Order: sequence, then C-alpha cells, then structure tokens
Amino acid sequence: MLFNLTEEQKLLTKTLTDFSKNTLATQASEIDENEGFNQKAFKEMGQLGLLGITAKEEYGGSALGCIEATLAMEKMGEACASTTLSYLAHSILCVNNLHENASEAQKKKYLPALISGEKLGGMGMTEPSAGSDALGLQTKAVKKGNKYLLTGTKTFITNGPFADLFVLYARTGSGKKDISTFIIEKDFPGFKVGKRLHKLGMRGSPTSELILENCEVPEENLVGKENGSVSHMMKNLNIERITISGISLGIASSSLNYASQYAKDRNQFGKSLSSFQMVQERIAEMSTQLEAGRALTYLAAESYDKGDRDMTLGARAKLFTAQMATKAALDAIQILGGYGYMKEYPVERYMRDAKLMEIGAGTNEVMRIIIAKKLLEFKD
Amino acid sequence: MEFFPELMGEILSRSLQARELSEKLIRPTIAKDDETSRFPREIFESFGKAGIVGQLLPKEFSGSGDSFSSYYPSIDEVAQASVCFAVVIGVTNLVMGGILKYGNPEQKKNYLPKLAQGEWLGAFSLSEPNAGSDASGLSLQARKVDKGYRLTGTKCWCSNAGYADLYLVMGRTSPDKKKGITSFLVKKDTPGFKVGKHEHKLGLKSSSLGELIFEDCFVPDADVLGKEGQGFEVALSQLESGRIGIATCGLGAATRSLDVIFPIRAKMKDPETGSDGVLDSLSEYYARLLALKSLMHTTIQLKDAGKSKAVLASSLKLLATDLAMEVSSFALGNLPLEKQAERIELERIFRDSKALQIVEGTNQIQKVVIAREMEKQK
Ligand SMILES: Cc1cc2nc3c(=O)[nH]c(=O)nc-3n(C[C@H](O)[C@H](O)[C@H](O)COP(=O)(O)OP(=O)(O)OC[C@H]3O[C@@H](n4cnc5c(N)ncnc54)[C@H](O)[C@@H]3O)c2cc1C
Ligand SMILES: Cc1cc2nc3c(=O)[nH]c(=O)nc-3n(C[C@H](O)[C@H](O)[C@H](O)COP(=O)(O)OP(=O)(O)OC[C@H]3O[C@@H](n4cnc5c(N)ncnc54)[C@H](O)[C@@H]3O)c2cc1C
Repeated sequence: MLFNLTEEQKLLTKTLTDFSKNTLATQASEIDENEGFNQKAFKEMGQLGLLGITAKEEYGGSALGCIEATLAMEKMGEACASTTLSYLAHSILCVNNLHENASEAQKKKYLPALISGEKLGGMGMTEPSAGSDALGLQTKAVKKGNKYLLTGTKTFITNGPFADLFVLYARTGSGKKDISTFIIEKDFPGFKVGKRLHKLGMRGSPTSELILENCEVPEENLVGKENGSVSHMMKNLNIERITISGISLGIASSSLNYASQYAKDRNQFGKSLSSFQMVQERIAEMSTQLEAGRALTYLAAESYDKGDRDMTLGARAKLFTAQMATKAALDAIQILGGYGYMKEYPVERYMRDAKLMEIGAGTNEVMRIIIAKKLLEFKD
Repeated sequence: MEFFPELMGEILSRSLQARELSEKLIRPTIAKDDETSRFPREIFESFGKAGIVGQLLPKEFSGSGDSFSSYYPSIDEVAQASVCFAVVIGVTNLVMGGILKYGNPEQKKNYLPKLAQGEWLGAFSLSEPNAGSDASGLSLQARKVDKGYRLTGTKCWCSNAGYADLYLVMGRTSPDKKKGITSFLVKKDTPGFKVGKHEHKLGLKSSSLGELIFEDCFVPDADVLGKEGQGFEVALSQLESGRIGIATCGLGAATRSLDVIFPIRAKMKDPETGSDGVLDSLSEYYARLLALKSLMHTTIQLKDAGKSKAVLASSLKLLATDLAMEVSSFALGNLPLEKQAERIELERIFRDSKALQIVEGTNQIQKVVIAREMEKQK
C-alpha cells in the first residue's frame, strides 16, 4: 500500500485485516462452492461500525469518507470478494444512498437498524431490458390515495434473497427522466423475491429478481421529489464505482500475493519457479498494474471526499482496476499451472469473481463512454 | 464457420459429419453435463462407432485411415460444441498414437480396435504432483521383477481417470532422468491399481480428472509399451499431436465465441454510422482467427507429409489458446445480460479455455520451445 494513510486509516486497516482473516477468509471458499451467504459477517460488520461507514454518527454511522469505504472494500475483497460485493450493496447502494437523499424522518426510521446489522439492504435499478441503459427502466409507480402502486420486475439484485429493504427506482411519469426512488420493505403487499440467479463468480453474494405486482408503498416512502431521482442515481453511481474499484484491488492483491508465494515455494527443473524470467516478468507486471490501480482509485476517492463530483475519475478507476483484476487472477492461475485450475486453490475463484468487476456498476464499455463523452464533449 | 472448405476436397465430409453429430448429440446436454460434472460416455461411444475417434488409425485396426488434414478440422467442429469433449477424444488419440508407433503386434491387435470404436476410453498419465512442466522429473517407481514390473506411487491430473479402460502410464525404471522412464499399458481392473481423488476444477467439467494410485501393482512384460527406458520418448512422440490438438480446441472455442457474440452485437450497432467499438474488436479477433486457421492448415499439411516442425505446433498452441481466452472473455463481457443461454455457454467456453493455456505444456513452456527452435535455426 503506497498511498499515505492517516493514523486512523491505519488503525481501520488493521481492524479490517483481522476481520477479513477471521470471519471472511474462513468462509470464502465454502460460500462460493454452495452459493451460500456469510450472514455472520454482517452481524460483525455492524459491531465494527462498517455498515454505515459513510453515515453520520447520529444514525449509528462512522462518518467516514469514500477513502475509508474504499479501504474497506479492498481489505475485505482480499479475503472474500462475494461478501464484499454484498457489503457494497448494503453500505453504499442502500445506506449511503438513503443517507444522502432521504428525509430526516426516513433516515431516523431506517438507518439505525441497517447500520447496526439488524437489517440487510439492497438496491434495485436494473431490469431485464434496462441494464446499461438504466434510464430505460420500466417499473411503474402510480399514485393512488396515500399510496404508490409499483409494478415491474427488477433483476440482478444483490442481496435480493436476504434483504429486508430495498432502495428501488421506478418510473412516475412519461418523460425519460421521470424516475423516482422508493423504499420498499420486503413485507409490503405485492412484493416478492423472484428466482435466485446462478452465477459464474461472486457466488457467495446472493443475486435475484424482485417482482412487484401492484406493490403497495406508503407515500412517505418516496425518497426526495417525484420525478427527481436521476441526479441522485448518478451521484450514487459515482461513489459506487470508486468504492467497487476497491474490490478489484483486493482481488488483484490476493492474486499477486498467492502467486508470488507459490512461485517461491515450487520447484521445477530443479529450480524455484521464481527463478524463471517469465514468471518474474508476470509478477513484476502484476504488481505494477496493481499499484497504478491503487493510485488512481485512491486519487478518485480523495477527490470525492474533497467534494469533486466529476464522474470521469471514478469511471477511469473502475475501468482500469476491473480489467487489471481479471488479468491478475488469470495470471495467478497460470503461475500455479495445473494447481491453479483446481478448486482446492483459491485463484480460480479470484478469476471468476474478478470477471464481475468488468460488468457490475456499469460495464467497461459504459465507463469508456462516460470518459469519452467528457473529453470529446458529446451527448447522446 | 468452415475451416477452408475450398482446400479440403473430400475430407470436408468428415468435418461435416463431426459437426452434425456434435450438434445432435453433444449440444443438447452439454450445459447440464457441465453443471453436474457428468462425462457422457454414451456419446463417446457414438463418436467411436461413427469413426471419428479412431479416424487416424489404419483400417486394419478398425480405424478410418484418414489424414491429419481431415482429423484436426473435425476435432475443431467437436470443440465448437464442447471443448471438453474434444479434449477427451484427443487424449484417447494420444494413447492410440503411442500404441500405433511403439506397440508390438499383439498390443495393437488387442487394444487399438476397442479404442478406435469407442468401446474403450484411453487415458495418458505423465504428470505427478512434483513433475508438471518438468515431466521427466517423475518418480513413480517401476521395479523389475520376474515376468514384469511392480508399480508404486501416485500420478496426478489424469484426464478420463475413473472412466478410462486403458491407461498409458510413465514410470521410473532407473535414475537416468530421461532414459530411466518406461511406458506401461495398465488396464482399469489391474490389482494394485486404483483411481484416487477426483479433482474439482474450474472448467472442462464434463470430463474427469483424477489421481492414479499404484500399490505394488503388477504389470506384465507384455504390457510394456516400447522398450524399457523408452518411455519418455513415447511420451514425447505424442507431444506434437497433442499440442496441435489443444490448439484445435482453442480455435474451436474462439470460433464458437465469435459465432455467438457477433450476430448479437451486429444488431446493436449504430444504424447511421455503422460504428461500434465492440464490432471493431470482433473484427480484429476474426482476423487473428483466420490467420491461425491458415497456420493450422500449413502445420497439418506438413505433418501429413511427414515434415512436422516442433516450432509450428508450439506456436499454434500458444497463439490459439491465448486467442480462445481473449475472445471468450471479451464475448462474455459484451453479452447483454438477458441472453441467458448464451451466457451459460460463453461462461463455459471461458472456463474451459483457461485449461488450454496450461495443458500439453503451459504457454510459457511453448515459448521456451520456440526460443530453442529459433536458436537451432541460427
Ligand atoms: C453479480 C451482479 C450483481 C449486480 N447487482 C446489482 C444490484 O444490486 N442492483 C442493480 O440495480 N443492478 C445490479 N447488477 C446489474 C448491473 O449493474 C448490470 O448488469 C450492468 O449495468 C450491465 O447491464 P446489463 O447486464 O443489462 O447489460 P447490457 O446493458 O445489456 O449490456 C450488454 C453489453 O453491451 C454493452 N453496451 C451497452 N450499451 C452500450 C453502448 N451504448 N455502447 C457500447 N456498448 C454498450 C455493455 O457494455 C455490455 O458489454 C448486478 C449485476 C451482476 C452481474
Ligand atoms: C485440466 C487439466 C487436465 C490435465 N490432464 C492431464 C493428463 O491427462 N495427463 C497428464 O499427464 N497431465 C495432465 N495435466 C497436467 C498438465 O500437463 C500440467 O498441469 C502441466 O504440465 C503444467 O504442470 P504444473 O501444473 O505442475 O505446473 P508447473 O510446472 O509447476 O508450472 C507452474 C508455472 O511455472 C511456469 N514454468 C515452469 N517451468 C518453466 C520454465 N522452465 N520456464 C518458464 N516458466 C516455467 C509454468 O509455465 C507455469 O506458469 C492436466 C492438467 C489440467 C489443468
């Protein structure tokens, strides 16, 4: 870690490292294999103050910034990317989102339980035919009396099967940007969790569809103004992309560490693998890319904390680290040779998990579009 | 996509047959077989009966007497449906190839027809926990006794373990690193021989991979393949065919990935400008694929003419498997998520492709070979 950390951040890193080692690493392979979910970890995160990392203390939060949230993702991501993804969905997509955009009454009502670990949260934006084109979402919310009735299907929702409540986007008017945000509790009439999805990687982070059939949402659960959600959707995507880059860093860092140790331990042709230049080259390359990714990511996090809301820095960090993580994990498998291909070793899981980083929170292509749009000054 | 039909003449019919059979037999169950790690033995038998497994063997051993120019493109077709299944056919061919070249008349008569017809499945076991890239560092002990040898030790990562009927196994008969290795043909029910743990792996899941355990296992002299001390030569004799085989699987994987992703992305391009970054990349992958198919064509023509070159097989293996990895990864990342069936298939190709960069000599080892060959040319 080359980035200059404050004393407090160093302390946090230590806490995270211990937690990851004792609570995440021990379960990582099992929840990957069985598509499980490390619920115990969430309880502990609550006690450690991680679940409301960016939220104010009055709601039980830790009042830290984007740098610390990213640090949490990196350190936890080193041990178990799946649980970290679920953590991101909870702490950033749900808690941070409400913290930034919800009313005082909503925050008082919902945040404390989410932050203590009593309740689990998620966020529902994506739909079967609205992924990259998030503004194309079709779930409708119609006002009836003092309620909204929501109808539609969300998909790829992290924590879907286990979450108690969701921050959910729905269409409230006919214009492209007429989108509003709602807080949905899982017990609301007309809400149900759809099929659980089976995935290549991040298998220990449950993903499902959400189905809304005239789901009754009290009007006080509308977040912000009607038709006013596009701006906070974008704002939250920005911090999501910076912090999720932390998970990529974690995966890449574990890939590098595992492969380096292995190369030192294994002999072929009477020599250590670490003596082969081709192996040395890969390791050197991996570590250079990793440190470059770290520098960019924490630069983006620092700018965010200083109030810069330009989306392109986060997009660059996300794009670079996602590609870097997949490459690092593939290289780690290659350095382990046949062993790397076996489930007994963790690197094949790193690789399956890393691939998601190129898709979730906006695909590589979408990141490039965001960056190019800014530089080339075009609109779509 | 066809190999180069204009250049193939009559032998094209073998590829077409392989394609048809793969579409009909493999494709319907491959997703399920991959998910449940099931090896479809009955499909292998059908490929045997159809003459695809044993096509390289002469007719007298129930083969089809085909050329390499016919064999590899047909394996490419199989790989387009299942990389894993193509690898299984390839492994059985390594065993048949070894027996054809080094076997005595009895061995050929007893074993080749059964393997060629798909009645028997073959396995090739060289690797050990401490002898992977450094294959001649193997230590499975083979002690000479009256009328045969006694084998003791453990082999690892043997493809087809548990399903195979005949195992070609390399053991150590003397300390000399390369000349102290001998090849044995071990039948599945031989006392003292058993299959150890089965590996769970990232890909190639519809075939098995396991440990072989030998506990004072007696193998009669009649089942030594070649002479004592000739075992590493036997293994090396199949290396070139094996590498071209794995390269073929890589081309099949790349071809299929492109076939899946291209039509989907072509529909998404900007109708006015026709421009699309993803299509640009796909065009480049297609260009690389064509170049490799033509390198493949040259390589197998030379092989049929008895003028093989190690540098060609290694170059092909390196480039084709790297291409498979890149294209499948790219295709997967650029697939709209609602395309579920395509997603399952591309994920499988992506996981399978990674194995291709490791087996038959890792891609780093191919570079070592290429450098050595370049040096020789100077
Ligand atoms: C494990 C996992 C967890 C997730 N968790 C959540 C969650 O908790 N909440 C949530 O709301 N969503 C979640 N998602 C959804 C995720 O954000 C979307 O998958 C992502 O935005 C991409 O959308 P899509 O899958 O529909 O792909 P598509 O939009 O269909 O894109 C398919 C391909 O087309 C490319 N493409 C699309 N548009 C363009 C364009 N204009 N130019 C060039 N290329 C383009 C994309 O880059 C991609 O390669 C999750 C996804 C996964 C896989
Ligand atoms: C799916 C699968 C199926 C297999 N099936 C079979 C089978 O049927 N029969 C069989 O006998 N074996 C089989 N194998 C084993 C395979 O042949 C070995 O995995 C392979 O030879 C590599 O050996 P290793 O895994 O021990 O890696 P190592 O030899 O330990 O290599 C580790 C890393 O070091 C690098 N390296 C090693 N030596 C050098 C060098 N001199 N210069 C530069 N880099 C070097 C390698 O490239 C690799 O990146 C299979 C393996 C897999 C994954």
